[in-house]
Amino acid sequence: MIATSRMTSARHQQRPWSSVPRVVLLGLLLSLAVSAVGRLALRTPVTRPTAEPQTSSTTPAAMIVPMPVPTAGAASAYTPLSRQTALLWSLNDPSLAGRWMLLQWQAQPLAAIIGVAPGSNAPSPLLASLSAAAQLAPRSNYPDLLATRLFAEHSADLQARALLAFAAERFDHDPAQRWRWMAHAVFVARHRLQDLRLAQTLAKQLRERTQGLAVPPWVATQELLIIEQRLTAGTLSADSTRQLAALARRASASSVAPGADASPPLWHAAAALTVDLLESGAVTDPAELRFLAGKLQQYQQPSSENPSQSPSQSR
Amino acid sequence: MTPPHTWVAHPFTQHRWLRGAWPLARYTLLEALRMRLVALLLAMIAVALAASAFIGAATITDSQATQTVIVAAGLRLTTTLLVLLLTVQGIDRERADRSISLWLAMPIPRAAWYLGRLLGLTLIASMVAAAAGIALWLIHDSDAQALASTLRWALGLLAELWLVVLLAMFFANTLRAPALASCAVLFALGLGRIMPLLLDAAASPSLDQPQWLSQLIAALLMVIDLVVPPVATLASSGWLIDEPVSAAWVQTMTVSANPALASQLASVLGYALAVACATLVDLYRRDQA
Repeated sequence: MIATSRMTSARHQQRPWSSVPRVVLLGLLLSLAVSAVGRLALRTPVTRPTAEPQTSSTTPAAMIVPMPVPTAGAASAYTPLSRQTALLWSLNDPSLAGRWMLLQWQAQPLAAIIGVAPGSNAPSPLLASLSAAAQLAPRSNYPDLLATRLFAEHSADLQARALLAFAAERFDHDPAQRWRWMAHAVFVARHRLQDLRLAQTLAKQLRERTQGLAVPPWVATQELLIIEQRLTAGTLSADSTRQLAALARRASASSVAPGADASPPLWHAAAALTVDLLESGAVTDPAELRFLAGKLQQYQQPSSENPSQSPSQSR
Repeated sequence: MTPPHTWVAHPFTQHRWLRGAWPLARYTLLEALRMRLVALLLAMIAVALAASAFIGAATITDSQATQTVIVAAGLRLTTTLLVLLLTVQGIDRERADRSISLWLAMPIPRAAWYLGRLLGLTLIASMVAAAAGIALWLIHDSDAQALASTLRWALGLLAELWLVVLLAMFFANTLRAPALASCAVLFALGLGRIMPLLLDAAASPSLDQPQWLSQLIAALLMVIDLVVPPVATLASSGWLIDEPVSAAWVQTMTVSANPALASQLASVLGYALAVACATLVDLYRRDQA
């Protein structure tokens, strides 16, 4: 009681500003000003890159600005927090520790991350750290995003493949939550690594594990498009060709009239996948249905002799 | 000052030990309110929301989950410090004003002073935990599962803050130095949080360490584990995102079917009671409080 009354009385019994000596007020203002000037003077000036001179060329080639690719060793390699250290810093809060590790990775420059040279067998600290963080924060999408969208796109081939395998394994455990990162993994394998075989494997896993889940229809069409691309490029292996031929025979069994060609073209495999996709009910969008119906029609009447009529070129 | 026994009106306070406790609890609450506790809690909520916005801007996915987890961890630390300082400062002020001597000179047992203070401070801790829960509820998802998870987290935080009150009262009375008492409480809480990690590390010692030394360290840690507060699993931010409340979780959380929960409840309640009793022992044994 005594303490509270003293506190309230102290608030109301302040003396006016005029009771403060002017020299003290002046000193306060001056010291604030000196401090502010000192802070401003100490502040490091921000250096901005000078603008590139405008080129007169307006050709499309001149307008394409190459993306700066960070090189390994351009910055000191980042040493990630270990699982135990992160847990200690977070005072044994696993969710916080895992997310902190992931945010630390996000904050690093790419050059410090892509340190594994092609052909190197050194274990990647990135992958081990991502795995540890994923265990600590099991519901986070960050490991998948960092692996597929950020790091795999810029890493050396070996590390990129390891990252895609990491994303595929995580997708396999929770397809409903992680299908979109797997779809991006397919994209990276197809366009960044240009490994159509790996892309097809990932796309197949994506299609099979998302059946019956609420995912957009285009997710299931990835495999189809990659098969089509491989057929056009003629890069299918003998095994894959045999599997697709079997698939094509199954597809043509009901549609090809008796007495027709006994070895149907491989395009029938693509047709079979399209039929599977349409019959699965995953595609409900009318535009998507029209697109797939058109593709199916093309697959069933391909002309291998005339490349201009191949489905990939007419897409 | 009017003697406390004339303020007593509620039958709850008629017990010899509890006589005088309720007015002291009201006084403690009033003291905190006059220290602008409400404004402080509103400021805490505002800072939590601002920090959440900042974290959201820094993330590239999982924004809400990251915001929730980091803000929950920050709120846990902030509320712990707030309750600790309020407790230690209040007791120190009472000692400096000698109002504690006045209270104890009245015809009430010493336990009444302790219980009154404890009741007031637990009410304050409840207000702080509620404010933290509201802040987190504003940041977290708005569905029923998120609400239930936030409620669970707030209850866990409440239990932790009550332990903080008990520990702070113990050390403030025993050590009689606010800075020292605050450090002791923080050390005990930090040790309590990381004790499972230390026990894990002791269970898998390095190969170049003599076996007897490993066994000695492990045994020592197990003894220390008995006296540190059981706060390692209370109000973990994982309760909000990675282990949310679900129907399956509710089913497994019944005490009869979940011995882990029962043992955790027993350890928290037992520890709280032990600290309270230790404080009372110290209080009764002193010549002058």
